[in-house]
Amino acid sequence: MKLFQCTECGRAYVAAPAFCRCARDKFAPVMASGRGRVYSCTTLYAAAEAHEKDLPFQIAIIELEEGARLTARITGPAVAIGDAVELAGESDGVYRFRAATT
Amino acid sequence: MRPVSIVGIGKTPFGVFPDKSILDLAVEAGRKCLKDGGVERSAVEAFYLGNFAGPSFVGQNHLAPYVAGGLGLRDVPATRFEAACASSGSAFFHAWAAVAGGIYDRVLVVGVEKMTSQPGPRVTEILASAGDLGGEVKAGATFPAMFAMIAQRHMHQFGTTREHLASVAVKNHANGAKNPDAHLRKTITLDQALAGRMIADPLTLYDCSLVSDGAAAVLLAAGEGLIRVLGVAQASDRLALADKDDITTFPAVRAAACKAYAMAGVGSKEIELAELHDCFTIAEIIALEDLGFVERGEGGPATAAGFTALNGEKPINTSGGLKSKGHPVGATGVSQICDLVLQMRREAGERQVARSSVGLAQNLGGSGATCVVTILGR
Repeated sequence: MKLFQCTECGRAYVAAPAFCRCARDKFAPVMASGRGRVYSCTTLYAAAEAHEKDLPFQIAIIELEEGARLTARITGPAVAIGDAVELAGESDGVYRFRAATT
Repeated sequence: MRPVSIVGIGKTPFGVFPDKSILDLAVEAGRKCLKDGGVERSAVEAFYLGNFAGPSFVGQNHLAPYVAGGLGLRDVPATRFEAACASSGSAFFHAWAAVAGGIYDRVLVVGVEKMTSQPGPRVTEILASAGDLGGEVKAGATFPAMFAMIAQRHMHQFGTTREHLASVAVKNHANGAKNPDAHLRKTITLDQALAGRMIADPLTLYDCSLVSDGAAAVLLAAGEGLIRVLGVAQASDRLALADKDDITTFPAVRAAACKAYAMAGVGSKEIELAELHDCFTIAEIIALEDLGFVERGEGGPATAAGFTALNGEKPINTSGGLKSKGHPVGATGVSQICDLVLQMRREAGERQVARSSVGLAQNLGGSGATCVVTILGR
């Protein structure tokens, strides 16, 4: 997956913001390893209309090795805070992660 | 800045009212408020409306002049404020600023939401639109899910337990049972709360606030009345949860509280009672910590120990809070102010607390991207 890294301070983002936290506005694309850890997570038993068909499902805030965080879907066995995860795929802007296999 | 007082309050009961439109609710609260304040409509110089999602819930837009017209207010500026669940807190803050700054002498603020005419999943979807649509919401996040992730992290970092969360719900239901205007007037037990249907792990149905219809209104006026606005501030933060460094604290709450305390010249210890934004039980626990009522990580144990109970050291949500009184989102901020005023006038009936001279209201929008903190004194 592609990240956007501030050319000044090095902070990485999943989507390039107008300004970095350091207030600069130049970003360079970098490829992420697709590996990270679960910062927090929850399993949903009620959802908005568009996601009801997937219930129950787990979502998580993933902190990537490069430091960027994103909210993603978890596929496969449930994960917990601190677990190592890896990118399983992406469709329509939604990233799916799973428990790390290696 | 000039001193500003709250000279009138009015509210509808909160609940499910299929026969009342958004206009009916807003006009009822506004009319009661003007009557309570003994002020003629012609004396109101501006109208501020707090509403989160009228256009989505009922299809009506251009809501501020719609409600002002219903109230018979002529020619005055009528403006709607939208800040998710902090919509009417924000309207209140800006109304205060206009009166304190000398622009107007009297401003009427109404908060309203009509939510129950939509089916549950559609309500969830409309509420979720206060999150980051491109990121978390697209992945399936709902507000219960966002606060569930906040709760999971709080439990992980501080050892907060499901029993701590449930004790917030038990306490707020006990208070709401004494409030004739509350949506759900029933007490619950800790076991009931813990055995509730799971919505987003670890939050059960009993950890979530209610989907309600309702409206509330306050009339602000320049001068030193019985109930004065000692301090008020609004602050913002990033919308998406994943963009926050630490999701177990809300920087916007801390920033708004810091300014409001400084303006009021009081500290957290001097606050005698508070209405806090318990959209989810974990939110009340974190608010206790962010407002400095307890140390970080102590919100759960303090609640379980009775610190925030009606007869506790620091009564919190004597109205029943969003959990039991109800949460018509756009009405909530002003409703909190109304409930503080009732306590400060010693008109809170069965739920009246002994010390109610300095009160605080904390109104949160989204997962912490807006916060308004108000301190009232008599």
